[in-house]
Amino acid sequence: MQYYEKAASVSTPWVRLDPELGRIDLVGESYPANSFEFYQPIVEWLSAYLALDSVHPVHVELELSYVNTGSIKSMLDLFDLLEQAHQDGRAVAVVWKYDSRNQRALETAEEFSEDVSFPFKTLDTFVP
Amino acid sequence: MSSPNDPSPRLAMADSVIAQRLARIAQEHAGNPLLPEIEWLALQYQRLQQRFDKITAISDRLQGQVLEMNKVLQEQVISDPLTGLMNRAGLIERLNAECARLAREHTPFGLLMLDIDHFKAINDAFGHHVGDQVLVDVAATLRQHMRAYDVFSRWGGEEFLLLLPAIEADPLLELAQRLRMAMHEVQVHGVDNAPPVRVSIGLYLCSVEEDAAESVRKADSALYQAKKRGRDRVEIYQGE
Repeated sequence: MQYYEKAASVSTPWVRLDPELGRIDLVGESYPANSFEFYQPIVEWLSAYLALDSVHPVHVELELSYVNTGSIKSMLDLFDLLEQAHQDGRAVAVVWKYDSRNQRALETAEEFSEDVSFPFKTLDTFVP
Repeated sequence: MSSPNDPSPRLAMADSVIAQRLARIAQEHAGNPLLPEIEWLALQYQRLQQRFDKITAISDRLQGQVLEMNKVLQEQVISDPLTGLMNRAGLIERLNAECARLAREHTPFGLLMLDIDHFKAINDAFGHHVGDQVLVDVAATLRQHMRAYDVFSRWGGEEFLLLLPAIEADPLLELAQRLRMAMHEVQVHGVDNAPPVRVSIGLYLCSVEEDAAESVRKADSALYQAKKRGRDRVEIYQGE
């Protein structure tokens, strides 16, 4: 499994996919011109990681201040993979970081977590 | 009853419509080995539909968030953080609109330029925090005396510019005198031995088509006269 890291750009988040830690990080804003192209390597990486074995846990940390429609779709695709892995007995956890100064950020997180059964934790990053 | 080939104006079919169709197909084609396949496809369709609804809901919410943020930013761009009044950029925008209205409807408007007398001396003698408090209290007094549709701004430093739509010369003068007198009553908040607040006011009644900058210049010129003639007074622009 390849370690994958991609620097943030104006319209895309910083991405780190670490097979050693079984960890995915996405931090920043996400409105790529072609969200399929941007998310495809991440979806493929996760599929490959999950295909390796059925025991290693997956930990996902997301800190996305803005996501466009294409990114929402890709995010839900990732969640589908995670949900399936969780149903198959793997330890899966997602941490969704948000800024509480943005009144609707928590609602967005809740909307994402509605249909999943794996542990989904929201974390307020704003320090007053 | 429509067939699956009907060109439908709606892309999405409600769950109930699908359920009805499935029931009908199951009845008409009982025992057909393709039935489970059709049911499976219908389920996939429903899932796709739900996913689409979810994406739309989240997207709409985020869009709303962006609009709210834009509104906040827009407010910040046109307001003065100390007094909470509109700033110069905000007033210029409204003044341009009022000039355009005058050209169209020939409704005169008034400009009232107000400057706190000896403000530098207040800052020097009492400190900038007292100067700031004077600005805040003057702004509050302005707020109390204005009509709902008047626009008032901190024009810069200790200068305030008020835009008074649909007004005549006499009420404009009366309002200015009332404001000037009201400032005599200002008690600067939280300051012992606070300095008295006095203001000079320049007025301009704009009744002919001209650009915004020119009308402001005339109000400013009247203010200059008020300062020159001894301060704590009101002057109306009479031409140069």
